[in-house]
Order: sequence, then structure tokens, then C-alpha cells
Amino acid sequence: MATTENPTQAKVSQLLAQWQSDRTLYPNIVYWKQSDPVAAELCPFPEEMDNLLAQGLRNRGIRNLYSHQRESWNAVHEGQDLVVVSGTASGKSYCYLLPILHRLVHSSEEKALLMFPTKALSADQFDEAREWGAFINRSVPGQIRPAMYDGDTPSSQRPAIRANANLLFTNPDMLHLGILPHHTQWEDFFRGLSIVVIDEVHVYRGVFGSHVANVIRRLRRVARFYGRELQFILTSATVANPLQHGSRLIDNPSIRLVDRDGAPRGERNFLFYNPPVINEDLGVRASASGEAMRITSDLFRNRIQTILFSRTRRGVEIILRHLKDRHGDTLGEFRAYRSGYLPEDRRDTERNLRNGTTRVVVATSALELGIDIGGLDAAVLVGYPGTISATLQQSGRAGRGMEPSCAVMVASANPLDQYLVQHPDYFFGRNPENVLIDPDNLLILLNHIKCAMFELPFRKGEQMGSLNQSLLSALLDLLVQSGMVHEGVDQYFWMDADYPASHISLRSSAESTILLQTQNEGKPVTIGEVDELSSYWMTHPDAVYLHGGESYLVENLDFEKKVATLTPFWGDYYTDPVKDIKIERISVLREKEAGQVKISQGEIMVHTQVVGFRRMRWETREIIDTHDLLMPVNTLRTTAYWFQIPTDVIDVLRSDALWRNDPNQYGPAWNAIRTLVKRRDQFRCQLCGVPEGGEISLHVHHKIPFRAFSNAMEANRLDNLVSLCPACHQEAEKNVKIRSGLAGVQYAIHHLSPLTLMCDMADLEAAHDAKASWAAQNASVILYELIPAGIGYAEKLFDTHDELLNDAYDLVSQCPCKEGCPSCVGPAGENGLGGKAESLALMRLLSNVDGRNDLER
Amino acid sequence: MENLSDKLRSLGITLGTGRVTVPRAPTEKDSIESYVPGEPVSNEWGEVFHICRQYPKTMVHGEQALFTDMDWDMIFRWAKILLPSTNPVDQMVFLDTETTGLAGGAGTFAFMVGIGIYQGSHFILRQWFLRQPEEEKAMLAEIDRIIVSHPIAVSYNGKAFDVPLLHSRFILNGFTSPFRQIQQIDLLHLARKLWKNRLASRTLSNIEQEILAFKRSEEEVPGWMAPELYYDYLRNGNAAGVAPVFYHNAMDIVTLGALLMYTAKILSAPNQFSNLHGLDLVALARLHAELGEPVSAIQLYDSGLRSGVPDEFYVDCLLRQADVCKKLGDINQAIQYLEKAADQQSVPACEELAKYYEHTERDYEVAIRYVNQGLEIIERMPGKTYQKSQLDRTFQHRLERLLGKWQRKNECEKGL
Repeated sequence: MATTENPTQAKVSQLLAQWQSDRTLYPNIVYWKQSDPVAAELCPFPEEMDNLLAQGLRNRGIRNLYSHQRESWNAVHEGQDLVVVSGTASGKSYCYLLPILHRLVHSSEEKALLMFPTKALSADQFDEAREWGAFINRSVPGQIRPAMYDGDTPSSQRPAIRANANLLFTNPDMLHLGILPHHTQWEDFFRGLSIVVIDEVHVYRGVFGSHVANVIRRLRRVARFYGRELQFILTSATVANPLQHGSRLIDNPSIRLVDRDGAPRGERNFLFYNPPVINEDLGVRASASGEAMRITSDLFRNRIQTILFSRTRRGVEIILRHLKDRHGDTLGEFRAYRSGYLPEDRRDTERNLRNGTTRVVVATSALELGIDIGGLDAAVLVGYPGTISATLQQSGRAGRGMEPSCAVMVASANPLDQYLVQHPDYFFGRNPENVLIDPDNLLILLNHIKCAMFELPFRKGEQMGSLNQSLLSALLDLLVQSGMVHEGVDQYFWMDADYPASHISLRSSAESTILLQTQNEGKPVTIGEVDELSSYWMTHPDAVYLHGGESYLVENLDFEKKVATLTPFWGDYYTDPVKDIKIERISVLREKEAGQVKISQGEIMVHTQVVGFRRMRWETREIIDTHDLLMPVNTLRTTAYWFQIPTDVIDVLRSDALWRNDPNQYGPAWNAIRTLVKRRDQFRCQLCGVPEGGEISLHVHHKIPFRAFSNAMEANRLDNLVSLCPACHQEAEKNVKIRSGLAGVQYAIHHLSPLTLMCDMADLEAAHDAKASWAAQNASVILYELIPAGIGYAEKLFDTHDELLNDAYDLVSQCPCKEGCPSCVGPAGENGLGGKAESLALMRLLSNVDGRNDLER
Repeated sequence: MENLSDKLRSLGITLGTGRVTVPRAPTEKDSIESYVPGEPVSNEWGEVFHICRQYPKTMVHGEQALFTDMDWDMIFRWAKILLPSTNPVDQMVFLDTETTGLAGGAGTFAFMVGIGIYQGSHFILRQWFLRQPEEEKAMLAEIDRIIVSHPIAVSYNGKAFDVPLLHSRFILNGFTSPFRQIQQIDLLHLARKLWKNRLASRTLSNIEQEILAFKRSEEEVPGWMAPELYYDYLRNGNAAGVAPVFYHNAMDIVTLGALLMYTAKILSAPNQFSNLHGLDLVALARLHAELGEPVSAIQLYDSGLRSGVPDEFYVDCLLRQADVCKKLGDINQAIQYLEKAADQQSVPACEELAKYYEHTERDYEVAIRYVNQGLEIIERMPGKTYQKSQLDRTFQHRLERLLGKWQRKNECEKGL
């Protein structure tokens, strides 16, 4: 009976029931996953726990620990390194705070370092530590001395913090730049340091994570100098490989995983909502934010406290304004939360959420990390947040104690969103992404060797964690040869006026960056930066650049001043760079055969030149026109994964007539153009050289298929046309078909790769070639990392090749489109027609699963 | 197999300057001993190159004797150090380092340390030089012995640079640092106070020329070049380049001695100097005022203004002088200085005077006169700055209040 239930339970369940009977809404709910309530797994306070802590917990109404908190306590006491994986709002901070406070209460010499990826997060945890400190210090004056040490700490306060703090809150950048290079100023701190907390380790991925892993190597090295071995407590969101990632991050292969979440969970409802199609012809769906607002309004009217996640800061403001307009807001019931707001405002919103004044908060992922706002009743996600892990974190904001909750993900028109709502099992059935780092990435490593040497001279034969000894000494020798390092009798000394850490940013691998500036009331305002190499294709002149959800047009790119000048832009198109890419293979690191396919991982050199750009219409992704542009050649050495398509597969494809050429309407001046091209080509086939005449009448072939263009003018540009004899023309068309299959496969696996790797699409680039230079002139698809020397993505892709290909096959085969679309094999482009049939045929032949071959044949 | 440096090069990394050549084996002729008349000393930590020179205390460096008898009280008060009961000079160590970098941090070390002490009739200068970075331990052990018996370090920017750097080196070598307890007289800070308005640059070399009238010989190399000279020495083993750094370092320390004598003397007995610049007298006056010596401060301001100061400092002096008088309780004298300043179109002087006449004398008419004068000056100030409008507002406010008071007073008097 509803009357016996608590009010929230009634509210959420009632609204869900109401939705089920709403004919305008229910059909859009394409998936509904309900998970049963889970009771808390409680453990008594540890016997050895200081009475003060037990008292403090009881004052907060806590009489037991959750099992994961207790297990963490035990692990810390046994001296193990551990990684704690538990849900949002599961009391994760007690997993480290309690054992640390216990140690600090019992020893005045003991020190702890707590590292958080963002300032907001450390501020949040710092507040809690301060409250505990104040409570303990009432009984043991001056025992707990928490301090925040980051870029905002006034320099007047720094000496006192260095001398006194025993519970230090900081971030990896500060550790790298401000603490380690000046460790002698922290002598007392390091002499007492025994425990290090790294919160939210899943954030330390890719380049950033590889840097941080090296900062930790340096931290261990410095601590060891002061006679300390460090114990680490890590926390992580749900990712596929917390142990592996944690081990690599702190360079310890044997760490303990604490992932049995003992916090109670009420009934959880996870709904996938696909906005209705409002224009059948164009297949256009209602906007995701509009639908999300409608859902949120329902939640608000039913007095269900809700968090709404938008992907952009601008989206947050628009949605907030609409909600306020619709419902009025006199009491501060609607609030926004995003980066760019002042810390005080954010604290205020967090408080109002906890005390219930704020009923709807519209947020960006700034709230995704463990900021404590208590549990809410509902979460609405506008669009897929990009990773399964982030989706779990955002939806996990809904749910307090044993009360039922609901999370609704509203799909946007983005291909990945559409794929996921159409394959919900895919989402719920698979592991979250892998977090990958490569601490031994040569460039990153070299930088940190310099920093480490600055901090303490390297002894000859010194080990640095698991780093390969011979690689370390080779790098040291190289630095000696370069003159930056002096090789003494038994040590290496830093010998350069430069202060190495100051040149190294943990957040990028690029040495040189371009500032993005726009004008505000006549003054240049920097809104962001891109590394110089990316600027070639992201912010070339006349590019449309997206930043923080806003569009800008690039007016100028100045390499000398390192500035790109942008202006706000409201056009209905975006730009797509046309790149000339040349790939050279340097080495093959691993190779395997899967069925008939040879799969490789290796090092390559990529020479990329932006030679033009296309303007594309937003709505339909059709090409408006193409412009020439010549940017400098960019050379990248990196790692790649590729597979090579055997010639017999090609032969099968060649023999299969998978496509029919519908007659094209080539435009009014076609005959004249055709004659012009033939004359230019001196009436000879441009492949075999046979002249026109007799039985042979030359064809004029579109290098990029005619139907890839929106108008005949563009398609019939002379440089897109070539004269071929009928035999060669047939070959060329076949090649187009093969290429379009390759292109489709490339598109699909490239777009699906973020489902395996916790990375951005922008960290990987893909290419294909029917005569690939990297695969001995065989047809091949290649995915390579855009991080110099690579960070491990290619390795992982190599390992998951079968999975990736099967996923791609599912994606394409289950797509409701006919000839291929941006949600499967990509938009019709220069690589051929839709390409769906060709892609499917190719994948069937490549697939390792024999049954599948039989099934389709 | 591709080698590491080719691989790095193809990743876009070029290390260093590329000017490193394989050094020829250094010969005896290249060693530091052939350029500098010193020799290695050894202790339990190994060897380090060392040189010791003596200068008679009577030597005149530029125009300043290396030692003068004086009252040390003022400079110790300025440095916030308790004046030792025994001869303070015996506890002082004059300290300067030459380092491998100018930014500091754990990776920077001193390849040369120079230390001066007074001993008997001499100023003894010792310098240690690291022929190899590994000699550092031996050097620090030598320094340690001197520092523990000379706990007052006299330096130029030593508070921010030399002392923390050496402290850090002791820690890095696993030693207990004698610098934890050190007391410091950092003459850079004093030089800033004394010559901020008179000298364009307060680098030691400039002070040395301008104040002590000392000119270094051609052997001098500028201090900022020292790191590079040392790198070169380590790379090619030839000490010819780095040898002049000994001269540079030695002169820095001798100058420190002479400069301490000079500054301590002008602080404690300025009237013994007949030719001090007006601005120096004014700076000394300010220091005296800060150190709680108002009587001498007023005298110094007076003689400073008599010697003449540039116009832009004149009014400021009067205002400060008035301030000191007020603290001494000599209001009349203060008013005189303020009136002089008001004559020079000083807005703060007008304000002070208006306050005085309003609250102390209750002579509202005079007060109003000063407020009006202030308003006129503000009106004539160039530009339309925020500061100007703020000033204008406060003066208008004061004027209104004064007019009210004046009116009420008049009415009262009429009523009587």
C-alpha cells in the first residue's frame, strides 16, 4: 500500500506508473531496466579503531561500516596497497579517511598526502577532513593539521603549510611542479610521509595518466631518499581494469582490489529514451534536450529531486532558463552547476542540494566526480556521456539509501547514442571501458627522467620502479651526450640552467600549443588551447571550430604568435579537413593470424598534410563545397594496429556483384565536360594508355563517385574526372567498391573503439588503402594513435580485434538504414556509395566466426 | 636495430644544443690548479679544491675601509637580530655562492662557495670549488665547521637564494644543516630601503660602483654567466673559463664586508658623514623612524631637505616628517610641515590640516579653507580616474559636514 511506503518511494513509483500509461511518452522508452533493492552489508567498527573516530562516526549517526569500508580498513592495516571501486555516494572517502585519521591520531610524526584530479574535488574532501580535524583536535589539540596546497594557495601561507601540515590535499600538477622539485623544503613532511591517497584514478588515463604514473615514480624515489616506503590507497569509478590500471599507475603489480560495495541500494530504474521521430521523410527526431526537459518537468512536478546532466556548459544554461521559465523559480529550486562558476556558488549549490532546497540541478560532468551532494531521486542524461563508465557515474547520482530511484538517458542524434539505444543489451551486457596508460612512453618518460634527476642525482645502476634498467641507462647516456647531464664518478647530475618541470605539462604531450582567442568588447579573450600539430586540422583558417558547445569560425591562424583568432559563428555548416596522409611502417611489434586475416601491431610514421577542407551541412552531413588549403606537413611517429585483407577475399568481393550502377544524371553540361576531360587526357586511357578509336570508346570516370556529391558542379570538377578505357573502368569501379567496403569497416571500428578503450575518438585516427604501404601493398585498415609514440591503445585494439570486428558487424548489420548512414558505415563520402553491403560482405569474409560465414552464405 | 637517439629524433625530440663535442682528455695544464693558487683539502668526506686569501682589515675597498669601529645597535635592530654580547663581527660570516642554476630547486647546487670572516687583524676569505660535483660533501663539511661558530650570515639576497640553497644541499647530502638556526643580515633588503629612489639598479655590482666607488679589474665575469662557465668546465675539463669566477666571487664577498661597514655606519652615525646625498639622508630618516628613533629621524629629514631632494620626493618627505612629529607629540611642528606641503599642492596635507582644524582646533573656517584648497587641487588633477573621483567624493562629503558644523556653530553664537 502506498500509504505505508515512504513518500519518495511513492513518488518515484507513481511517476513511473504514470509514464507507463502515457501514450505520448511510453513508446519512446525503448528500454527499461529495473534492478532490485540491495540491502546494506554492514560490519562493526574495527576493534582497534580509535575511540575518537568511533565517537565521531556515532555523532554523524553512523553505527556500522559498510563492508567495503571495513575491508579497506583491514587492507590498510595489513600494509597493502589497494584500489577501492564502489558506487557513487557509497561513502568511499571513509575508505581512506578513517585509517589515515587513525594513524595521525596515534603518531604526531605521521603524514599523509591526498591527491585529487580537480580543485573542486579536493575542496570538497578537504571540508570533510577539516570537520574531522576540528573534532579530533578538541580532544587532542593540534593533532590533525589538514592543509590544501595547490596553485591557489597564497605564497605567504606556503612555508607554514610545508612545516606543519600532516594531512596534505593537493593535485598531481602541484606535486609535479611545486613539491617534488623543492622537496628539501618539505623535509619534515617527507620524513613522516607513509600513506598516499589517489582519488578517482580512472581520470588518470592516456597522456595525463602516463604523466601521473611517472610523477608517482618520482614521489616514491624522493620519499625513499627520506627513508620512507609509501603505501597507496586508490579509488576508482567502475572501469574494466581497476587492478591493472592501479598497478600501472603506482608501479606495484600486487595491489588489492576492494570492490564489494556494501552500501545499500534501493530499487533502481534505468530508462533509455529515444526522442520520437518528428519528420518521417528526413528521419529527424525531436531534440534530446527538449525531451529531457519534459521528463524533468514531470519529475519536478512530482517533487522528485533530480539532477540533469548536459554535455555542454551552454546546454546547462539553456535548459536552466527553460525550466525556470516554465515553472517559475522564487525559492532557488533550480540551480546550475558547472565549471566556470565560482567555488562559493558551487559550495552553496551543494549545500542546497543536500538540504533539499534545490530540487533540480542542471550540471555538466563537473558534478560527475565524487563531489558530495548526497543522493538524489532521479538523474536525467541528455545524450550518451561518451563512456559507459561516465554513464554509470552520472546515473549513479540517483539513489539514496534504500529508496527507489530512476535514471533516464535521453539519446541524441549522435551515431553512438542511436546505436546504444537500439542495442541496450550491448550497454548493460559489456564491461565498462579499459583505462590505459603507458608510463614508458618514450617522450613522457624522458621528461620525467629529467625531472627526477633534478630532484635527486641518479646513482649508476639505480632502479626506478619497474622501468627497464637498460632503457633507463640508455636515456641517461643520451642526456649526458646532449650536455644536459653530467656523468660523474658514480652519479648523474642535472647540469642545465633550465628547471625541467616548468616546461612539462601533465595534461598534454605537446610541447607547443596554440591559444584560441576570441574578441570580447574589443579585447582578446583566450577560451582554450590546442596543441600546435592539431591546430593544422582543427583550427586552420576558415575552419568551424566547436568549443564548449559553441561554434566559432577561425579567422586566422598565426604560428609565430601561436594564436588562432576565432569569431562566434551561427552558420548551418561545419568543416571537415581534407588530409593527405602518408603512412610508413617502421616496425612490426606483434603479429597474429586470425582466420585468413593477418593482424599487426607496430610502429609507423605518419605524414599528414591538410590540403583542403569541405563545408558540410549540419543536418544532412552533405558536402556543400570543397576548398583548397595548404598547411605544413606534420610528421607523427606512433603505434598502430592494422589488419590486412588477403587477396582471395578481395577476389571474392570482386566476383560478387554486390552493387548495381543506377544510371546517373550527370548534369546539363556533361557532354561538353566529358570531351574536355578526354582532350586533357589526350584521348588515352590514363591507366593502360590505350588510345580512343576503333572499337574503344573512352569512358570518363568519377574518381570520387558522382553520388557522393550534392550537386553535379562539384562532382564534375575536372580534377575528379579521368579518362579510362572500358576494361580499366570496370577495374576502377571494382576498386571503388572494395574501397568503400574498406572505408565502411574503418568507419565502424573507429567509431566503436571508444567502447573498448576509455579514450576520445580524437585520440585515434583511422585510414584504409587497397594497396596499403604499411601492409606490403595489400588492402588494409589501420587505426593509429595520435599521441606521439602511443600510449597503449593500439596494443589493446590488437588484443581485442575479434571483439571489435564482431561489434562492428553487429552495428552495421542491425542498423535500420538501407545503404549506410552516419550511424554505421559513415556518411556517403569520397570513398564510395553507402558502402553498407560492401562493408558487411567484407566483414563476413574477415570474421573469425565460421558459423557466421555459413549463416550468411 | 634503430638506436634510441634516432628514435627520439623521429619523435621530434632534439636533445641539448648539439654543440657538445667529444672532449679531448684534459691535461694537467687544464686543471684548476694551473689557474688558481689553491689546493685540495681533504676531510672524512673526501677532497675539495680550496683557496684562502687574507686582506688586512685596514685595506680600503673603493673608498671604504674593510673594518671600522662602530656601534652595531642600529643595523642589528634593523635585521631583527639580538645584538651579541661579545664582538658581533666575530660571529659574522660573509657568504656568497656560485651555482649551477639561477632558479633554485633541488637540482641546483653551488659549485663554488665563498666565505669571509674577520679574524684578528685580517679579513679571511675562503673559497671552495667543486672539481667534480661529488666533491660537494667534503665542501659542505668544511663550511659546516665555520657556520656553527659564526651564526650570523651577511649576504646579498642570501635570504631568498644562497642560504635556502645551501640548506637544501645539506639535506640532500644527508647532513644536518647548520642553516636551520642561522641569523641573517641580507644587505639587498637594506640597499633597497636606502637607495630605491636614488639608484636605478640595486645589484651588488652597481652599489659597489656607486656607493663604494670600487671598480673591478678586467678579470671580472658577470655572475649570471657562472652556470654556463661551469658546465663548460665539466664537459671539457679545462678550467680556463671558470677560473675568473673565483675573482668575481671573492670581490662579491669583500664588497659585502665593506658594504656592511658602510651601511652600519651611516645607520648608526649619519652625522659623521658630511657628503651624504639628500635622498640617502631621507631614506635613513625613514629607517630611523621605523626603528623607533623619531628624534634622529626628524634631524635626518631636516638635513635631507637642506641638502635638497628632487621635487617629486619633497612633499612626501614633509608628510612623513609631520607624521613623525605627531608621534612625538609635537603637533605645532607637524602643522608647520603640513602647511609647507599644502603650499606644494598636496591633497593629503590639505586633508590632514582640515581634520586637525575640524577636530582639534574646531576652527571650521580654516578647515573649510583647506577642504576647498584640496578640492581645487583635485579639480586640476589630469585625467578622469577612479581615484580622482573617489578623492573628490570624500572631500565633498567632508565639506558638507563642515558647512553644517560651521552653520550650527554660528547659530549657537548668535543665540548666545
